[in-house]
Amino acid sequence: MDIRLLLGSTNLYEFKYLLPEITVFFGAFVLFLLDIVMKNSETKKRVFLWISILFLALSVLSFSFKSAFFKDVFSGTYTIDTLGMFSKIFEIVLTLMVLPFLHTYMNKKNTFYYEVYYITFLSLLGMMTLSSSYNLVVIYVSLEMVSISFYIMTALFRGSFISKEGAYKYLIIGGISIIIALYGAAFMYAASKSLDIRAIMSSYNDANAAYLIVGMILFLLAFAIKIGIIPFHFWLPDAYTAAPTPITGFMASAGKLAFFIPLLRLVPYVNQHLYSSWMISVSILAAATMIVGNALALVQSDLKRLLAYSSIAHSGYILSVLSSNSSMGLKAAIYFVFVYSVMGLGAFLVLSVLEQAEEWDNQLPKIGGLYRNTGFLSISFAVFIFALLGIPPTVGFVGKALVFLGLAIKNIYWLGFVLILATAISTGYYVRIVVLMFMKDVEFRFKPHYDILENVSISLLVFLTFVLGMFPFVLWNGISNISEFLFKIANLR
Amino acid sequence: MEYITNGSGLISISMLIPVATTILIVFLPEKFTKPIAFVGSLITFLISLYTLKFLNFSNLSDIYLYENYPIVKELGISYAVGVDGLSEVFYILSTFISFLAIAWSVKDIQIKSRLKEYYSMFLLTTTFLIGVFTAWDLILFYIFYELTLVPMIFVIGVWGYKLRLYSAYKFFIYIFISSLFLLFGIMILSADSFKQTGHFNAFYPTLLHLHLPLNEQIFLFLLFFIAFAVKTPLVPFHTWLPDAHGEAPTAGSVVLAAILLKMGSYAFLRFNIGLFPEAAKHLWLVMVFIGILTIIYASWMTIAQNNIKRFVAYSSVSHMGFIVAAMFMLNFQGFRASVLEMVAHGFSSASLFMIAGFIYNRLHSFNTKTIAGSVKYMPIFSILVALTGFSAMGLPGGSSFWGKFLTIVSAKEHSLDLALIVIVSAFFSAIYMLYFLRNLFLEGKTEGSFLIFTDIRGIKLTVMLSLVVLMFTIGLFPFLFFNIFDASILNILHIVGMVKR
Repeated sequence: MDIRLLLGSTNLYEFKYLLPEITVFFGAFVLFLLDIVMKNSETKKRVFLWISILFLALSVLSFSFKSAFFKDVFSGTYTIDTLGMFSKIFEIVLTLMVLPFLHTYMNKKNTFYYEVYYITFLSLLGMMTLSSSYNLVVIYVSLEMVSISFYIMTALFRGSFISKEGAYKYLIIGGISIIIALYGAAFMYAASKSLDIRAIMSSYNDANAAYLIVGMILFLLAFAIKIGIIPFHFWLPDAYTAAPTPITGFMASAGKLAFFIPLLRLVPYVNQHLYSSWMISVSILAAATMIVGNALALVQSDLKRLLAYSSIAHSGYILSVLSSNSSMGLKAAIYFVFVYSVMGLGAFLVLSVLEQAEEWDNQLPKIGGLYRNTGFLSISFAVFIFALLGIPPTVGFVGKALVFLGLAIKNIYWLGFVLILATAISTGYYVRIVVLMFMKDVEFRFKPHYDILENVSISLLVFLTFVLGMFPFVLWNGISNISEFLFKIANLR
Repeated sequence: MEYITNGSGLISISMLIPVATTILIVFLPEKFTKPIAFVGSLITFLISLYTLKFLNFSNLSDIYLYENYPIVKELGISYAVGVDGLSEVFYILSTFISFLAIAWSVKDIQIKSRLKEYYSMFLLTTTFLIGVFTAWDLILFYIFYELTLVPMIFVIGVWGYKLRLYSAYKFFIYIFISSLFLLFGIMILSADSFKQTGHFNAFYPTLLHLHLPLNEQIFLFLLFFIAFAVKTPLVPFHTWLPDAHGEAPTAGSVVLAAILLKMGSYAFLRFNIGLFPEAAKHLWLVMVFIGILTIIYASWMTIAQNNIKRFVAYSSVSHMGFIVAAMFMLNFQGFRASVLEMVAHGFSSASLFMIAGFIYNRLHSFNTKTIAGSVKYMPIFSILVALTGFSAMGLPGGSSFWGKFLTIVSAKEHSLDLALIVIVSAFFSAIYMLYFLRNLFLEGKTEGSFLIFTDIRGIKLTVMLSLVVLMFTIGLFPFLFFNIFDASILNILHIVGMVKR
């Protein structure tokens, strides 16, 4: 295409929709420049933290809030809609919560890598674009952007052997997944002569069915690897353990949320021809993920690894309700994705505070008697654990109840029983953590010191865990509108 | 069924008072903990008694003190609480027993550490129990049903005896996993409601109007059954109970046995029979036999125990068998027997656990060999023990008499053989109580070895005396209780379509 034609067709006015993304990008740029200009000092650390917070806050403020909103910009390559807006705001807020912990974490380890700030920003930018496009090329580029940032952040502490190993594994398997995604995209393009997922999915006919399905399966496979669906999960526990704990939280919350959004966008376009193959493949993957993820978590003695496997299992819960392929199922999945990012992040952030202690080595028995050491931290951790288990009135319960409802409405009872079995397995390790924390004797003496920001972050996450569970309508009304809106648009085509 | 919105939110107020008390306890110094907890639970109990004033005793099948605030409109989830006659009984029972448990703990020397947390847990349990027995939305019911678990594992795990961690763990895992089936069942019902009416709904009176085919009713019945059979407990699912009740502190065992078990049997009556009447009619004989199996098996197990707390725990299982067997006779006398026995067992099991706890305070042992004959040297206490024992055994005038008698009557309505089986199992349950009394009164060491004991007195005497008095009130004036819950029972029988009087 002629470059002038391309410029001519680009309406500069449309850049106003990209304001949050541009703010984040500009923030990354400013931090990068500062890193070159400033000398290493205590001031620089503070300046970096506060400038990142400033830019993220500006980015949140630059959203124009609208409900049931949908607009294709830049010739359909970029989509501004409510789901995208919701998820972008969530991603930014989650990043905001992670940053103070990252600051203390690096301070504690006496190795301060300033580049992590702008790499975080760039990966956030990738997540934001991933959350708001139907275009295969844009999805591919943002997927790479997020992934490469994650590889770098996993190996942030380059002196550590475990970090390098985890990052290497992540890099290899992540690279494979990207290639598979590209291959799938090529098939889909060949079948439909289009790069837009909506057009691809609705171009289904008998002649191109085989290409389309192969393409779709390969593309899903790539996402399955990225999300950590069993049997493509091998990188995940290693990478999650290897990364600095706040980064692990970032990957498990904002990263997972972003990786799920394209899958969620796909659901309304799975028509009746594709439904049965979609249902069967997704539900089998989901069942395997739930059971194996929880069973593997049950035998872990390393808390970080345990939470990594629990994160895998939660992907399974979300995926299971996607198999029902109904408006209700989509709502449940969106709700669960959002609230998992809250509770998962909370659990990892608590771990990152615990890592301040010299004796702390992430081993499960070390958490014994934590309540005697630090009441606030252990109660928050118990709240997140109970939420992950699904005890009312936390968000985890609402999420699981909605998954059950989504499965019941399509009569997929067997998956419901698998979910019960998986949750039954998970009860074992979650309750063990709570029992150890509150009912054992003290394992080691430990007084954590928090920044005010860290305190606020954890309190806010606990608050959200309760409030979004007790008053689900806060989030629900928005999600319900989003889901029905997505289905409405899909049916219009 | 009508909804009568009177009482200006008294139920919510009685649920909020324990929470407010908990907040006070957390923020005030520890020396105020006991009086505040005592007063808070007393006020809750008095409010629950005061609600009787708002009930119209000529028509108790309506729902009184009704409150309804939608939580998620689209999913039909609402905060709907209210009481009919049946709920009212358990509402008052739970506030009363929680109050007694807290009153007992005030002088319990086992509770030395972490007082703030201890009383907070009991107060929170009170709130959740009120929620369970007054909820009319199934999801709300489920939320409170699950929430009762959380304080209870802390009560067992932190202040319990030797095997407390294991028991807390087991208790939580059994009940949590089984209740997931309940959640799935509720969600299937809600989805059915959507398919039939276009609205998601978990509101009990609305769900009554759903048309469920028999096979689906049986499927849902079984899902609900798993949850409530573990909670009640019925025999193949009972193994968590002796551990949890045996290792919990006295007040914890009291609350567990007297009210938490009733959640299961109450839910059997309200939901399993009320929502799936066809399935209940289909499966009644199976349920009756599971009940009778529970009675006989648990009775034998009771006799074999050498730990007095586990002894009482197994006797609870056996009583629960009676309750379920009577309930699934599916006739008026059976329902009456079942509900009255639930109340009676609430008092008698509370009293029995207090006896065990009191003896432990004096002798620091639960072993039947060590404590044999110890009661003889505490005259007032021994009278209370004897009265509790005879009352729980089912002697006429005692609390269990009407329950057992009416069970036999209701079994006779089906067939004579069934009645005979019930009589035999009632005989078994008498054996273990005699065994219990013989152990405490007639066996044991030579005279003089226990003379140092002080007798029961003060607050503990008041607590136990009130329980004994209530037990004999049930035995002597059962119609006081029948009058409250008869109308609601008839309502459920009406749903089952077996109204016979």
